[in-house]
Amino acid sequence: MNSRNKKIFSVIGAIIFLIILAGIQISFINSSFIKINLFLILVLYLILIKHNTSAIIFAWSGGILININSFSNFGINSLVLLIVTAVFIILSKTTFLNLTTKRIVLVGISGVLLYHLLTWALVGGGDLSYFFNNGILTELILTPIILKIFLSFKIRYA
Amino acid sequence: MKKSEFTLWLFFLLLTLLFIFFNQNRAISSLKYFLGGVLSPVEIISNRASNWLFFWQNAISNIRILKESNTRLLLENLELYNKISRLSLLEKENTLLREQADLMQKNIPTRLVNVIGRDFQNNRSFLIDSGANDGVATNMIVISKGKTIIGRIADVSYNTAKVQTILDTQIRIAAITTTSNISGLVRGLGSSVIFDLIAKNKKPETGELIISSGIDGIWPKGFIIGKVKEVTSSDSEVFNTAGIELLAEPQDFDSVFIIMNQQ
Repeated sequence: MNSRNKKIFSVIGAIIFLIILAGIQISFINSSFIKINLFLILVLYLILIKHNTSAIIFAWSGGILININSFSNFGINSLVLLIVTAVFIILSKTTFLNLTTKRIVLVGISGVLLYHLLTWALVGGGDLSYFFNNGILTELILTPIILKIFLSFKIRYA
Repeated sequence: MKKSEFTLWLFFLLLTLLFIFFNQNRAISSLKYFLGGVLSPVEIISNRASNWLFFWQNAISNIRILKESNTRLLLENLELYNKISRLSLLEKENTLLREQADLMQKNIPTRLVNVIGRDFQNNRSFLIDSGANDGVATNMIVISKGKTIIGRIADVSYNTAKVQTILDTQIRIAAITTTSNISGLVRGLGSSVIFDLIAKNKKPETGELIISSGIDGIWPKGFIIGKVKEVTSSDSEVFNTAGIELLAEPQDFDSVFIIMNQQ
């Protein structure tokens, strides 16, 4: 397989992966008690493994896809994810250079907090009750754990 | 952030802002519908999977509640069964009482009695819960609903009485067929009944009803005995005979009527 075909297949694969991920997020995770944002985790993971370009593309496309079934304006999730991506790309050059567990946890927690802060600011309408629910708490716990698991696999099989 | 990354980021940011500010634009709406269509098969599959998973998650987490609820429902079910059985008995009793009221209107004084014992060797006799104290006497006629003859009182004690069914070999009833008016004698054979002493030149139709004719002075007139099953005619015999199909077997009844003024 030449490099051109490889690129085409990786693009098609990425699109299928995005669609499946968005379907799982919208129909499976959003309706369950496990409130996690798969695209946020994906974006943070890509930033931590220094795939910044992929992180930007997935942030935008993932945001667009999960916004289809959202009540907020079309594109808001993309905007939030793009801002989070930019912030963490800048921070990764300075703060998160080494992938220690402490830093991964910090990235996970701060990522979730920043994402929700931005969403609240853009969509929440100033209502503080947005933060007082179990969903954010489980997301704060699960996001660093999932990130750590994926990064452990990445480091082991790299 | 590298320059290329920044350019890409800026491009997507502008595109996103375009989507946000021109949200109601036809092209953006079309894009939303298109993406919705692309996502829908995955959403359907994910939704089914989540429904299945949540069902089992709920089932497992609520297993104690389910068990308690099951026990409660079982008890309720038993109670309902009990109620149904009582209602069924009441319905049956109601039907019988209506039947009795109907007979009373026809000036046939009857008494509704319950069967309390049976002769399990054969169906020639059974025991009822009324006796001499209730005015029951020997030779009183026992019928079922629909004015069908069952037998007669053969033996009476204070509170019970024994009914000899028409299957008994001692039973003889003067009878007549309803359509062809052929008279004869109904006899019990132990386990079946025959219509005997039919004149040689007469042949009742199969399925014809046989009723008591009352000419013997023992059995009242007009009570149903059964239907003609098959007619047997032999040159060597003086009379024709016919098998009788009883409309109801004596063992089928739980309650019967006694005609009180027949001695």
